[in-house]
Amino acid sequence: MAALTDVTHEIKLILATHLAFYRRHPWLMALFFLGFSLGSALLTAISGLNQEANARYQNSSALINNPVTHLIKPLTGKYTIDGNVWLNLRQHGFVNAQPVLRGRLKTNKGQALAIQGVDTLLWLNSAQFNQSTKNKNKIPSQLSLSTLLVDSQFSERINSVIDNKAIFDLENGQKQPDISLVEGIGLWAITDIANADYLLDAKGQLSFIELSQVTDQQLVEIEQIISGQAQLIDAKQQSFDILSEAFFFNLTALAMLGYIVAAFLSFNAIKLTLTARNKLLKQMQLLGCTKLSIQLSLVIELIIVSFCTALLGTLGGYLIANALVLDVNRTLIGLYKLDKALVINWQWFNVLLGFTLNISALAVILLAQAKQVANKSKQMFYGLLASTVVGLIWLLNYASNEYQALLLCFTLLILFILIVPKALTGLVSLPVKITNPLTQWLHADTRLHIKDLHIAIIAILVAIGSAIGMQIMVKSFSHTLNAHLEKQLSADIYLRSDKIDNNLRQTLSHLSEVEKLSIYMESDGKVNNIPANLASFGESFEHYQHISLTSGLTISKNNFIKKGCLANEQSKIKFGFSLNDIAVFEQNATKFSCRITDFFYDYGNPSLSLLTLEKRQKTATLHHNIFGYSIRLKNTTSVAAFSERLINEFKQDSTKILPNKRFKKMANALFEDTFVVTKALNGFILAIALLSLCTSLLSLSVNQLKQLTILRNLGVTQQQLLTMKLLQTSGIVLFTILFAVPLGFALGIALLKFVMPIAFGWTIHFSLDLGSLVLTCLTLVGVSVLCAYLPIRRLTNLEAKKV
Amino acid sequence: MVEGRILKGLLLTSLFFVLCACQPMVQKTTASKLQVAIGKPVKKGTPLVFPADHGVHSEQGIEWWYLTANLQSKTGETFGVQWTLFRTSMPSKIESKWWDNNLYFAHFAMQHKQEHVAFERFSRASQAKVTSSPFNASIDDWRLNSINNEFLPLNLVAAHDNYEVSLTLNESPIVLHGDKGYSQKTESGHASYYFSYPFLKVKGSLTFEGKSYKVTGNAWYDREWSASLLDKDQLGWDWFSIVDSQLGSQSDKQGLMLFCVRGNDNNYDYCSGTRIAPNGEATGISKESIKLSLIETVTLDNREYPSKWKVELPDSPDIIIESITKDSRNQLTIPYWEGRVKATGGFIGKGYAEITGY
Repeated sequence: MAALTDVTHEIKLILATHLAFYRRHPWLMALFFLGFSLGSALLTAISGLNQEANARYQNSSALINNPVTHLIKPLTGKYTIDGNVWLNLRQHGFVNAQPVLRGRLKTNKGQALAIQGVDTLLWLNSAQFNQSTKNKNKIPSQLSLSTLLVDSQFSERINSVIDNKAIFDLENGQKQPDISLVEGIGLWAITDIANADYLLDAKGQLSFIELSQVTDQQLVEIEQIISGQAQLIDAKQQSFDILSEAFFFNLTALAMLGYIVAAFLSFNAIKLTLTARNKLLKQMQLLGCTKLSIQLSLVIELIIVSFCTALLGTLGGYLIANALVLDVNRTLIGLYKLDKALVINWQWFNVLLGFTLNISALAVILLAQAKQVANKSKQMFYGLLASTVVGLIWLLNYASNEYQALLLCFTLLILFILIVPKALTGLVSLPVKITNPLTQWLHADTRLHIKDLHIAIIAILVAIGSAIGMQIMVKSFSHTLNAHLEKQLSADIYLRSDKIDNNLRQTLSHLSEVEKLSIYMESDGKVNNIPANLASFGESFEHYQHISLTSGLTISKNNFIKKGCLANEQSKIKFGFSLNDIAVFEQNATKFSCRITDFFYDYGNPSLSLLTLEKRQKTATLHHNIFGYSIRLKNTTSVAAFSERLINEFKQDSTKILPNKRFKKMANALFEDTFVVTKALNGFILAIALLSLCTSLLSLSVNQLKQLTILRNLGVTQQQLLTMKLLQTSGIVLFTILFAVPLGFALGIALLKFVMPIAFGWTIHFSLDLGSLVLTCLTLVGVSVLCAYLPIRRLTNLEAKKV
Repeated sequence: MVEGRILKGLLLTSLFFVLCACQPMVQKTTASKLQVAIGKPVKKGTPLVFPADHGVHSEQGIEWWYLTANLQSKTGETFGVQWTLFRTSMPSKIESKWWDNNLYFAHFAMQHKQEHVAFERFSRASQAKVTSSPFNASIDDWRLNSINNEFLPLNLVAAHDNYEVSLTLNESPIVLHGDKGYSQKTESGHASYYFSYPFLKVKGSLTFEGKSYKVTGNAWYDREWSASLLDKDQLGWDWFSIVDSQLGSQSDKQGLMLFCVRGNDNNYDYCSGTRIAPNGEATGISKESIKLSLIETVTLDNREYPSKWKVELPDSPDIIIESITKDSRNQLTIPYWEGRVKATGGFIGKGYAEITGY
């Protein structure tokens, strides 16, 4: 017992000494914390988004804490379900079936607000509702049937019009809802189903029905009850879950990269603290502290640091995720068919995730410091280098799934991480004849300190390399997409309409100004259980000339003969279809099959897409949506003049007429959102790397004080010292960037040639914006130098004071 | 009738605000200290018309279809069942398939020995249905309905988790309480229309805690509608419906219904009752001649609830009424006590009691 008290006492003492050490070196502590916190922040942000996406059915739309396992949705190609389906289910005893009606209201200032009607009577049922105090807090204590609960993030949209009596433009003179602002209910404002039905004039139709707590036997019964009127879907097997996998995979990979950079940052800090405390630990041992106590206290310290940084990181991640959630939602809803906007909640699981990662990273870092490892560093280096090269070659030839594609990127990173410090050390060790004594000193100093800066250099290399890689990818994607849209959206005018008026179609196509008039109709369905759509542009192959085939050929009659159809590139790369395969498109009970005659580029579309002729799509009796007409004009006619004619002569609504430019802008805007998240994450990674450099130099500066004092005493001016140190830093950064550029190119190519096709199913042509690349590099050098300047300035100032 | 108290409770709690789409009645509640009024008060002398009066009386804001039953299995085990559909007006400007200006809610409770369970459902138009002919009162799959075109026999079906009833109810005379159904409730003149089917012969099956039983017994069905039932300064209500000759033939059954409203001082300050002959003939018991007193109480969660009463009526020895399942609290959104009772002394029989405001 006494021995245990002694050990505890001893550990306390040691910990107190460590704490005192941290107090004396606050930037080291800051570095420690920042590194791991930022790293886990990125990871937990993405993990948070992903978890919310997976757990989006944990609560029902009516905020009842009852996980939704299945959904009853409209038949494919339809948008609503008859409300009697819900009543019928309840009459059969399925009381865990809850109705949801969704729609949009327009404020009188023209802004849209998404609303959903739910059964608010559920909130009266105390037993059910009180289960979730979290949700209960979201509901104001006083509300009526006509209350519309709006998330406070949309307060501006509402507040700007709240003074005027009419908040929304309601077509049938309905009574305005009472607005109540609440926290954290997300994208869809909530009201009672009756009020939503009234405001949206839905006439008893529903958007979907949520089911919870249903047994397999009940599912069979439900399918029989709803047969022919709606379809039963597993909440976790929806189009979104299938389509968004790649999106989240890429985000996670990017966050992982951030974590690695951050871990390097902390690696640096821990190395520095360990070196600095080496003497201290020896002194403790001399003073009688046992090895066990020292080790135990180290373990305690690591656990505390891991936990605190995980906590801080999760908090940061929570904030980042919340900042990104709107963009992510827009992307996911626009491109990936997300049916429920994500709301980011605090999750202790993420703290645990951060803690586990941090403690493992720390353990690895500590192990790397062990003498046995250090003794074998040379063997380890060559071993690692050899296996990386072998792995790289293998992956280049055989990578076939997204994990392997990503591993390829990491292998590239490791290769550069191994080579660059060695190359730098080699470079500064080159015997150069220098006569200037100051330059001689600078050379010797660089040679001496290059090892201390290894980690910072690696952090910068990884950050800049990935930034360049990312830039290449984004640029190539947007360039390809632009070129693609340029051709695909090459008609002069788009006239929106939800039905085809044959008279108008005939009249317009025979006008002398019109070169070609096509339509666009689309049916939703599935091919081999993959979300798919079938579309057509007109009666003959001439209407498909804006489509680019991957074979480089132009579309001809042959593409449609013998039940021929075209499939998008994704069908080939991601979903495994080949030429002349028969694709069976299923919509509810209706099937449509066709023979794939070629593949076409279809960027940004995560699902499978087929193109057929209009007549065939119509005779297949599939539910379809008409999007309108696309009109290509003869060169002699202007878009403005023809638009006028459409309005005046053909009585078309001017808001339905979209000139090509506007249409393209809208298409582009949709993709812009996709990259907001990527760019934000990339920014974070760069920030971490720069911070790494800054703090490394700061901590180094302490050791250099003595030398600089000597130099100063020898007559070197402060200005000269500053210039020298800045030159040294810029040189190192510049040299790192020289390596980072090829790394960036390699990563960019790996992303374009492996990750993109494997994860998303589309090939992107490499395209480089050299100007902006150079600008990025120069900016980075500039910022790095600025980061380096502060600690050097401090150093030279300090030195000046001492003198 | 005491159910009126429940509805009043509902109206006065913030719960009501939760769904009060239109405020007139709430404003009246707060404006007038004397009464709660939803819709038009019932008019004395309005003749009851069947089958129409089995259906909804939308002019009055409070209405219920109330069934209680004392049942016995072949093995001699006894059970109590309560099933009620409530309707309360909630006018709104909303026009929708999902709102007909009424909130509907149903309670389903079962008891056996000293165990009592209660479940509730709230519902809206289309989801809840009441038709007068053929009669049907239902929420989802909880349903009380006529089997044929005639009102009787009835069928009751309700289920929740491991509790289920499926009963047929038949052969009871109709009883009009008060003055041809017009039943006064307070000194200040609150009233309702009130009729019962007190001697319904029950046959069917039930499941209690997952175990199924074939059962027979007697059920009492109450129908009541009103615009306002109570004075604001009244605390609660003790209400009894008792049927004697449980083991005798159907034609020997006699019934006793009585209720006493408790004032602010917790004393009974307005009582009323009906003696029911086997043929359904009703004899009113004047309010002055009823004396109800509490003999025993039971403490449940630090609150005292009555468990034994003494009833003094003219021309009859004292009647002792005792609760069977001591904790018969329906712990629902609106809590109240509703359970089986047995009567001895001047009236021997079994029935149900509802007590509120404790």
